[in-house]
Order: sequence, then structure tokens, then C-alpha cells
Amino acid sequence: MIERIVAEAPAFFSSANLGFVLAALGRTLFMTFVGCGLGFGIGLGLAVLRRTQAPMLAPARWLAMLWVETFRRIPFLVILIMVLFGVQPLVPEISLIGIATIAVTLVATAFLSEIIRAGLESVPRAQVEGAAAMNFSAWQSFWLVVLPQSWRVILPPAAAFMVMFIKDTSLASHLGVVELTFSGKILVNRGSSPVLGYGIVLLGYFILSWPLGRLARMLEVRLAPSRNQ
Amino acid sequence: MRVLFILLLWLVAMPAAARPMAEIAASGELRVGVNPNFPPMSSYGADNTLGGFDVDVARALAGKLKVRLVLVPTEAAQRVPFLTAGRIDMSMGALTITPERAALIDFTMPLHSEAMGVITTSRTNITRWQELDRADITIVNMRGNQSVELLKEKLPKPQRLLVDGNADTIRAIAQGRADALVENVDFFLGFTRNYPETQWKVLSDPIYVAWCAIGVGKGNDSLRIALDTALAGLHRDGTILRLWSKHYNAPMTVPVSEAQIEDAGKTIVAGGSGAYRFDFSDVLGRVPYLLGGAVISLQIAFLCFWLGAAIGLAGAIGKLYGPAPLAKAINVYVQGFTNTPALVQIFLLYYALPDAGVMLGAFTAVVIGLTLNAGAYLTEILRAGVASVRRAEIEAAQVLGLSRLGILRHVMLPHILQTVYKPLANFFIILILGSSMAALFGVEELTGRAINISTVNLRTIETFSVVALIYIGLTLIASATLAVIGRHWFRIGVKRVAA
Repeated sequence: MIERIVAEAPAFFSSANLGFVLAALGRTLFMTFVGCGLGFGIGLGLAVLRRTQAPMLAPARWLAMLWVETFRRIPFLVILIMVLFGVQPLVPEISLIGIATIAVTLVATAFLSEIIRAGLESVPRAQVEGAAAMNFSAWQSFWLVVLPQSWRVILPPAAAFMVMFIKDTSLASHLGVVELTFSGKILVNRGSSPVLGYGIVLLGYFILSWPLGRLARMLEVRLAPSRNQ
Repeated sequence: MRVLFILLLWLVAMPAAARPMAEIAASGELRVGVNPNFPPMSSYGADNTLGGFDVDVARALAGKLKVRLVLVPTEAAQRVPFLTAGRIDMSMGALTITPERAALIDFTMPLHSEAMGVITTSRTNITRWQELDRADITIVNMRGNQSVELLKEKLPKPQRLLVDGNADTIRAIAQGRADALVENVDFFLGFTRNYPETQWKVLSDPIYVAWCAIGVGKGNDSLRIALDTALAGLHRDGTILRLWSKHYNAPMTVPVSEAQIEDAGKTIVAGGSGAYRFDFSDVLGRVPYLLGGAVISLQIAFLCFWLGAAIGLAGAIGKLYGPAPLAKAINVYVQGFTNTPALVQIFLLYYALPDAGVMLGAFTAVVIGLTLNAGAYLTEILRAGVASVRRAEIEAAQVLGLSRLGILRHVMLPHILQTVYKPLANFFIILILGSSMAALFGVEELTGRAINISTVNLRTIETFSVVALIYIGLTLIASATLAVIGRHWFRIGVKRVAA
């Protein structure tokens, strides 16, 4: 096995192959960042929606809860396949990476909305009541009182979730998205040693995930709410 | 909300998506589905662009239709779904003409033949394909290939190994996971070059001959007729046979006959609108089969959880109380496994270890991979629990004369469980969902069985909706059970344990 790897290595680490893997790594990042970014936006909307109390909005609250509970209970692989076959009849022009990004968004929305909701709830109710007593509108009390204080509770787990999802996007290789994992698969099917082909993929994920994970933990330490409130 | 709206819209009406010839001509693009991993039909060459027989034929057809060729990588199992979805205008990749497929898509005249032979190695001493019909033989095949069903009739006794891609079939034989492949020999022989040490053997007496054609959307007669006209020209001027010889270095075993070319002009497909109608009847009849798969999913989750928890507990204690080098080694393990995908870790276990002489079955490889992965995450989770045990408590227990095991059992574990019960319960749910990746290695758990069903009935959306519901039910039951256990045995006032 070792001899084979040593013999293949010079041809394997050609600039064409490295460029191919690097482009695939870019697609992995794209799916994760765009999907989680959209998911954060929609998740924030859902979290705010679920805090409202107007009876008119009850069905919307119920739908938001259904979304959150559903997409956290279906494997990402199954969601990918369902989005693939569900979305393309409507938007036949959409690319495979677009489909994978939609799947990431659906899942990220569900998880991030729960993280955001926990963050919003970490702000003591008394402060909202205090804001109301000072004649703040609902929007003002949310924007000026609740949100600024909840960022520090929301951001660290949200960042950790995104770092975790970098690795989950490897399942998109099943659709044929030429992301990091699929690039390794193509190299191995072309005759490269699996140790080299999948090894370089593992290395790629580590290079993405490790520094970002460190960053997320630094965020956690710096933003940690003081304990004596 | 827009996505939700689209989903609702889609539930109401699934529009017909096939583009007629006029629309294709107007857009100036013909979107052709070709397999990205199927040399010499189509595959990524050294310059990382697609090439092969299918690609050359598609280019010739696009030339005749005077449109630009757009290649869409289409895995074998997605050849029909991509068409019904309108993602591609025509589907290639050795698409055999079958009645099941003809119910969902239309076919052009045959493009080439498919003579089914046997690829095996010197390990098996057979000389005729009939000798394969033994229980100690394992035949490898690909999900979504029509030969899977046909072989059940011709060769009922051998065991079956289903894999995901063309290259995986030959790899499975080379690594000794399977003994033989019954398929179109021409298609698969190319991969044997990746394994020069294996003594390959080919039995080319055809078991049967099938015909492959180009698939188009149901009822897309304008495109089908345009393609038939173009194809007839390519057949008659010898282009097809020439391209075949160029890519296969051998003539086509059974060429397409003039009679078949003539026939295509006469066939008129009866009616058949392009609208998709939902049909749950097939998948609903297979719910018991799917539930059987759910049991295997749970088995994987249970095994990986308990084995992973053992690793995690050892890791957490080692990291907190062990000597510095041990703590460092554990840290390398945790960082290595938590910063890379479990899927690729299992790829390495399953595909690379055989090179070192260690052959793991699909189930074993998945369980080991997920266990090592879970062990790394659980080390981190349990570390928080172990750290919550104060040194003073352990010292007090030592003073009271408890043994090391006694301290672990009576002082540390209750403390740890109180702290980590909720994250542990969440992790178990994550493992249930994560076990679905076993399907990509041919393990027939819930997702694997769903893929098996949907590649035969071609009702992917219907099948996977039912499977999604089963997963939701499974995790809801697991969450509820864990919440009850937590409340009664560990006095944890959890209102809800969610993933």
C-alpha cells in the first residue's frame, strides 16, 4: 500500500488535480456560507414570529413550529434527495449546487431558528416590560433592547453550527455536486489510491473546519455574558 | 417563507416540464444527461472535462439539431427522474429500454446494444454463466440498473451486493467483496485497469441482449422525432459504429439493425400527457419493508452510541486526569475526527483499508466509522460532565475508602449523567439521522431501502415523503422515551428533549 502511494504521489499532486480539488473546496464553502446565511435570516424571522402573541398570527406560529420540528427530524441525505426531486420540476434551470444550497438552507433555518429563539429568550422579560412601560413600541423594544443583548448568546452556537455543517455538506456528493467529497470520489474512480484521494479531501475539510472552529470558540469566550447580572 | 410557498405550490400541481423541440431550438441549448463516472461512455478526463462515446454522440446530435450542447452530469439512478423533472432534455448513459421506464419517459430508436456477459476473477473457477447460480457466490450490481431485476429470474441463488456507481462494482470484485458482475462487459471492463494485480476473467457468451436508447420526456414527441431522424442518419452513415469502435477499441457486439431504424419511424406513442401524477400505491405497500429498515437504522444508532460513549468516557477522563502526552493524543483524536466529515472517514475505512489487507463489510465499516466519530464528539460532551465533578468530592470518597471503580460508579457517574443527559439525548437523535449515510455504502437500512424502492418504482418523491415521515416518527418516539427515562431515573426536569 505504501509503495503504491509513494509511486502515485508525484502524478497525483499535479497542478490540474490540486486546482480541481481547490475549486471543489470553494463549492463546499459556498453551499455552507450561503445556505447558513439564508438560514440565519429566515430563522431570525421564524424566531421573531414565534414570539408574537397576536391571535391572528397563530396559524403562522404553528407553521413555523412545524417547519422547525420537521426539518430537525429528517436526515440531511433524505432532505437533499427530496429537494432534488421536488424543486427541479418548478425550476428546471437550477444547478445541482443550487439545489444543495436550498437543502442546506431548509435545515439551517430549523436549527438556527431554535438557537436564535433561545438567545432572544435569554433577555429577561422584565426588560421588555420595562421598555413597554417607557412607551417603546414592540419594534423599538425588539430592536433596541432585546436584539443587542441576545447577540452574544446567539452568535457562538450559531457559528459552531455553521462549522459543523461544513462537514455535513459532504452528503451533497450523492447528488453529483462536485464539492470536496465528490472531487475525491472522481480522483479515486480515475485510478488514484483511495488513501491519497480521500486523504486530500479529509485534509481539505480540516483546513476549513479547524480554524473556523477556533474562531467560533474565541467568539464564545469573548462574548460570554457576565455572570453577575 | 418563499421556499415554503414554492413547496406548497408544488404540492398543488406538478407542472409538465419537458421542453418541446421548438423551445429547445429557441433557447439554442440541448441539455443532455450523461453519467460523470462511466468510461468509456462518459467520464471526466485528465483535463477534468467530460468525454466519451455518449458525449461524442450527443455532440453529433446537437450538431444535427443546430443547437449548442450542454452536458449535465447524471448518475445512473437519476437518468429517469432528471427527465421527468425536465432538468435535462434527453438522457443517455446506457439507458436500457424497459416497460417500467417506458411508463414514465419515451425512448428514441435504439442507440446501441447491451450484451450481458460475466466479469469475474480467477478466484472463481467457472466457465459458463449458468455455473454462477450457487449460494456461495456474491454477485455485485448497481442500484438503478435494470439487470438487477432480470438477474433475480435468471440467477436466483447467489447473494447480492448493491453498490452506488459503476466503478464501485469492479472495485468490490477486486477487493473480494463480490465474485462476479453480470452486466454489459464492454461498459465495465474499463475499470479493471485500475486493478492490475487481479486476474480478471471475462465470459462473453451473452446471457441476453438488451437495447439502450436515448430517453426523452413523456409525450415530448417533437423532440423524439427530431432525435430519431438525426439518429437514423448517424446509424446509416456509420457514425455510431465508428464512435463505438473509437472508444471501446472493439466493434459493437450486436449492432443496431436496419429494421430497428425503420421501425422507429412508424411507432406512434399513444397519448400520454407530460403532467406528473402522484402515485403512492407502490410505496405504501412497502411500508413493512421500510420499517424493517428503520430497525436496522436504530441498531446502527444504538451500537454507535454505546461504543462511542465508552470511548468518550475514557477520552474525557484521560483528557482531564491522564498524563500530558495522553491528553495530547486524545486531543489529536478529537480534533481530527470532529473537523472532518464522518462520510469521508467511512470512505477511507471502506475503500482504503482493503489495500492494507483489512476488509470490512459495509455495515461494520459504517458502525466503526460512526463510532469513532461519535467517540470524538462524546469525549467533548462528557468532558464537560466529568469536569463538573469537584475534586473535593472525589477526595471525600477516597477518605471514605471507596475503590476507584466505586468512586466512578457512585460518585462520578451520577454527577456526570445529571450534567450531560440532555446533550447525550440530543446526540442520540443526531446518530439516528446520521445512520442514513450507511445507505451510500449499500447497507439496507431505512434510507438504503428507500433508494432500493425508488430506483425500481421511479416514484422518488412519494417514496421519500413516506420515509421522511418514518424518520420523524422514529425520532419523536426516541425523544419522548428519552425524556421519560430522564425524568424518572435521573430526575431531570426536562420538558422536551429535542434534537
